[in-house]
Amino acid sequence: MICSAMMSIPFFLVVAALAAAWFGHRHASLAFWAAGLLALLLLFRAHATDVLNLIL
Amino acid sequence: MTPALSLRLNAVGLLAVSAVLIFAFADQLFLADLPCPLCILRRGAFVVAGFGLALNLRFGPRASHYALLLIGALAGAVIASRQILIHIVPGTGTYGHELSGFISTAGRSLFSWSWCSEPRSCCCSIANSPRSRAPRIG
Repeated sequence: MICSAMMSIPFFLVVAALAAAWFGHRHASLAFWAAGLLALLLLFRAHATDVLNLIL
Repeated sequence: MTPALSLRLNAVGLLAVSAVLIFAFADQLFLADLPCPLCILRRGAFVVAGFGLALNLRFGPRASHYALLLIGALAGAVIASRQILIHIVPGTGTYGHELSGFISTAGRSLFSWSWCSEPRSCCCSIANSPRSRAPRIG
């Protein structure tokens, strides 16, 4: 449950970045975007070797 | 390229990214094709790449905004490549539908199409970047 909830972190961070951009805070939006990208790459590192339910 | 045309093209690109995400959610909700972790991360990479286009629309086209698009697209391409390599051996099956439920797409899976589209957005961003169009001399 916690693991699946963590998959939403990059999306929330990019939404925060979009909100910051909407209100004109460019540097804050870039910081949120960088955090989102970092979360995405860390999650990829954690899930790159996941076992998939293949359709055979 | 005029700034107005550049903004329009950025808006079209953002709509295209949105269309990809809407298509993925439609596949999930209407065809009950639940996404795997790598599938979710590919969607995240599309969102990360689309943010560069959104910044272009909000603050005007800049080379740094296209760099964000490039970085996001490269991350998506890496994730999609990993997913393709998992299924590259013949006879190992696939994961998810092959898009044949919606339109005729040569029977490729969503991750294959994702891999095709990410490098394309990289090339578009390089071609549209202000610095690539106006090289400095000297």
